[in-house]
Amino acid sequence: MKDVYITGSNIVSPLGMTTQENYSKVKKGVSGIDQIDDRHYYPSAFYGSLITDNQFLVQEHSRLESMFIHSIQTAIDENTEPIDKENCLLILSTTKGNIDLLDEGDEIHKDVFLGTLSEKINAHFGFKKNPMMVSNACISGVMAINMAARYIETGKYSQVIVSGGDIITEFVVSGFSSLMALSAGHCRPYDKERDGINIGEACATIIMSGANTNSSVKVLAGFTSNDANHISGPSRTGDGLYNSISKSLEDHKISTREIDFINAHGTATAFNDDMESKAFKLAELDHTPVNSFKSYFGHTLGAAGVIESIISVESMKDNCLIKSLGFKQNGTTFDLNVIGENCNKNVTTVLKTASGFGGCNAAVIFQKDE
Amino acid sequence: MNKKMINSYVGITKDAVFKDGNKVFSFNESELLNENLRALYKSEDLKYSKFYKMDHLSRLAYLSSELLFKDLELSSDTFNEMCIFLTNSTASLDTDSAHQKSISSNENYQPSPSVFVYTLTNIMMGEIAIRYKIKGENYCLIFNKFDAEFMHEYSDMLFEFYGVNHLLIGWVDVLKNDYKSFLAYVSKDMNAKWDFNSDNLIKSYKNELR
Repeated sequence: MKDVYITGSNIVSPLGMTTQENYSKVKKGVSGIDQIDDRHYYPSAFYGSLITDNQFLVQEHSRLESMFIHSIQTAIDENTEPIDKENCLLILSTTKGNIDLLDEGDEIHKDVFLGTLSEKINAHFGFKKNPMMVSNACISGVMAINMAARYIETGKYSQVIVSGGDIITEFVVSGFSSLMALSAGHCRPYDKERDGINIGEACATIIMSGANTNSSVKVLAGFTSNDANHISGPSRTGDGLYNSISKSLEDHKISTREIDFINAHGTATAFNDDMESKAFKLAELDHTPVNSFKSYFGHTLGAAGVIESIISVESMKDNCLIKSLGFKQNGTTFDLNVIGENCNKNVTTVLKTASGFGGCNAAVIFQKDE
Repeated sequence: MNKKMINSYVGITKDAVFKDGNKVFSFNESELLNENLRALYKSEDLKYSKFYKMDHLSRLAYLSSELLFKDLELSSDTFNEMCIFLTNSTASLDTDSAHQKSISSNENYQPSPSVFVYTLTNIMMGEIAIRYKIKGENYCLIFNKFDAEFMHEYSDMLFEFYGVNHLLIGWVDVLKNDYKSFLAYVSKDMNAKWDFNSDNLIKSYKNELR
């Protein structure tokens, strides 16, 4: 198997328009979450992470398309090697795409179709290979990264661009509200007082390559698994997430002791965070430092896996464990070693996990190339 | 290394239900999707109460899986490690439209959690996983057209490099009264009839592989 390197990245979020802007804000403990009181998004006020600086908007493209274009272009501009438009592969990840273009009429706007969205973005950049569109609930971003890494590991492609994005819409806010899943304030992953999620919007891009051109970080592709338990409730035992973690570690012959920190899913719903604590206990990772970035970006759905992977990689390069914002007191079924304050630590290996509706779980590993 | 083989496949179109290319049930063309799926459920004598809670996409995926697996006698270990890889073109738009209608007016604002949970395409995989206790890898991807080449290439990688021995692969698509389902079971069973390649995937998608 070939090694897979990260050669470029970008994040478009309320915290900034580049990876560096986003990472430095996160390191300072700044959150993009605020109260949103706008009938365009929901009849009553709620807390979410909304991009208000609309400098990224591209003419003749929707809001989400503009975010994808801006994020991918910025990542390409900052990539350590030129993009081979003939041979590179684009993998997009989203849960709802241009769902803001869906209305009550009988005709569905063509851009609402996710295949059209990926073809439009691919055509904008003039890539010659057919694009892929992953839409697998909240693990979409990690799944897209794993697929990209596998394509490079096996030598099918030598360059893959992964970009995940979702926007805040009334569609999504009203849905999570009907599930009683929205927090009344800022979300607090793993905390005793946690009461639900904040929806966020963002787009994030990672460029991976089989060639190590000034890259310091490798991607070790992980596995997905299904709980086979409930479509909207997480596993009662955590065994699905445990399976995806243990298969990923075994495949790369990495022991749990080598994991310097886990960036977990941590949505701050009671059930999700409890399930994760069970899975980490099963994996004997309950003493490993863990954080969630949902309290910085909100739950950005199809972008979450990508954005959180990028911040994890930046914190690894910076040898800094980032605090899990909003956490004060352990409140999960099994106590976890939640990172309460930023601290310096030599980091070489990071485990990233995600879980979602439909019982899906995913893991991926990032490692310094030393 | 054993060859990968298509053991069996099921197709559901607007007219009929096919198993391994043979018509096994005819729909009443004038009936709506909902009525046709209920008729199929009854004719198969199924007793799975979750069926009635599902949206159209999950019903179509679930019924396809029942027809596919009913004669295969696969063990629980086989299901436990099976990988599910589904694609379609309309994602969950059939149910998205229902959720959108429920929030379209201030006067009648009634988003329903039981509708909203189906506004993710991969829920249909979750339903199949729950029915058969399938705990392997999951993939849900969206393409405007059935892409046999991609599906074959990626799943071939899964078999060769990522420990997959049993694969449920297909295309399940619903939007209003347009629908099409195709599910195939792929494994390294040398007694199976058909080689797993993109030509045979296209033929089976068209219910023409015999």
